[in-house]
Amino acid sequence: METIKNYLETMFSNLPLSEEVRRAKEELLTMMEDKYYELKKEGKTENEAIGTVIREFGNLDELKEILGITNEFEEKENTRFVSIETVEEYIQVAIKMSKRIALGVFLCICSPVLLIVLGGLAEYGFGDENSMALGGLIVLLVFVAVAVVLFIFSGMKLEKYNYLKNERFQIDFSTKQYVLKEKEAYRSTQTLFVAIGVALCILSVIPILVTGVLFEEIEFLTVIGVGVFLILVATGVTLFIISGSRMESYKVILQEEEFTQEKKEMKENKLVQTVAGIYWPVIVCIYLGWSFLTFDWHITWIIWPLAGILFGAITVICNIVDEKHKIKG
Amino acid sequence: MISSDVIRGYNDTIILYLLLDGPSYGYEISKKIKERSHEKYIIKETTLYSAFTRLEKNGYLESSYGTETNGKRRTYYTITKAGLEYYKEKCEEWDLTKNVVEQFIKKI
Repeated sequence: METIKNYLETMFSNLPLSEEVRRAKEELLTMMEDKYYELKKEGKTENEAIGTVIREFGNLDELKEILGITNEFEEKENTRFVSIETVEEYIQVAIKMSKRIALGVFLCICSPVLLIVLGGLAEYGFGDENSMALGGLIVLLVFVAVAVVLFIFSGMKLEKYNYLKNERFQIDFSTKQYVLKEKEAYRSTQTLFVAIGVALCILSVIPILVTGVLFEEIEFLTVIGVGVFLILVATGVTLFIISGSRMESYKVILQEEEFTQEKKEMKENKLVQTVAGIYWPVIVCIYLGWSFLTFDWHITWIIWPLAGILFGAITVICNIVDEKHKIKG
Repeated sequence: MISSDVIRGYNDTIILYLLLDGPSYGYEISKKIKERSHEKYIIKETTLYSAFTRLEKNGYLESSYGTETNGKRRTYYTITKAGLEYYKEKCEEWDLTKNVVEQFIKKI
C-alpha cells in the first residue's frame, strides 16, 4: 500500500496545492486502495496487486484539463518545487546542526569558567598564579576553537539549504500536512524548553547573590558563584537554540512568519545582517583585547550578556531603518 | 481489450448507466464496468475521476460523502434529472452512430 501512496505522491508532486487537486488525489487514492484490497482478497500477491493498480491508474494529463490547472501550473513553473525527501532531509540536518551550534555556544559561554575558578583559587593561595592563569586560558582558547569549528562545520552543512530561507519554493499538500503535524507535535516540547531556559537564566543569578552576600569574605566562593552562573546561563541558552532552531526549520518549510514568500522578495533583514557581521567580531576583539591587557578575566565576561542585550536593541533599530527605507523606496 | 481512445465518447454513457439503479462510488463503478464488459474494458482511475468531475460540473451528477466504512470515507455519486436526460440523449446518439458506422462494416 505504501508503494501506491508513494506512486500517487510522485505523480502529484508537480501540481499546485489547490483544493481541487487535493480532492482528486484523495479520490484517486480511495479508488486505488479499494482495487488493491480487492485484488489481495482475490489471492493476488503484493507485487501483482500493486502492478495492476499502477498499470490501470491512467494518465495525469487527463486530470489537468478537468481541473483547469494547466495554465496555473505553467505560471508557477519557475518557482522551485521541493520534494518531501528534501524537506525531511533539511529538517533532519537542521535539528542535528542546531545541536552542534548549541554545543558551540555552550562552550563559548563556559569557556572562561575554568579561568575564573583557577584565578580565584590562585588568589586564595592554591598554586602558582601564572600557571593557573595559563591553564585556564588554554582551556578557554580550546573551547572557543572547538566552538568555531562547530560553527563553521554546521554553517557549511546548512549552506546548501539556504535557498529554502531566501527563495520562493513550493511543496505539495501532503508535505505541508506532514510538516504541520510535526510542528504541532513539537510545540509543547519547545514551550517546555523555553520555560526551563528562562527559569535557568533567572535562577543563574542566585549563586552569585548567595556567594556574594552570605560568604562575602570568602572570595573563592564568589568566583565559584560566577562559574555556576555562566554554566546555568549556557544551559538555558542551549535549550533556546535547540528548540528555537527546530521550530525555525518547520517555519522555513511552511514559509511562515519571517519566511513568507513576500518577505523573501523584500529581503527585509539585510541591514541587520550587515551590522551583525561587523558587530560580533568587534565585540570579540574588545573582549579579548580588554581581557589580555588587564587580565581581569573575572570581570570581562560581562561583555557577553551586555553585547547580547545591545544587539537586541540594534536589531530593532535596523528594522525601523529598513522599514523607513522601504516606504521611501 | 478495447482502447481508451475509441471508447472515450461513451464513458459518460457507461457511468450514467451504472448510476441508474442508485448511487455508487468510484471503485464499485470501475469494477462493474470491468465485469459487464467481460474484462474487455478496464477504465483507468484518472479517466473515471475526470469523467465524474466533468459530469458533476455539468449538473449530471451529484456527489456526497457516504458513511464511513472501515475508517474510509467514500464519495458517492448520484445521477440527477439533467443527468437522466443527458443519458437518454447519449443513447439516441449511440443508436444513430451505430447505424451509421454499421453501413461501412462488412466481413472481408
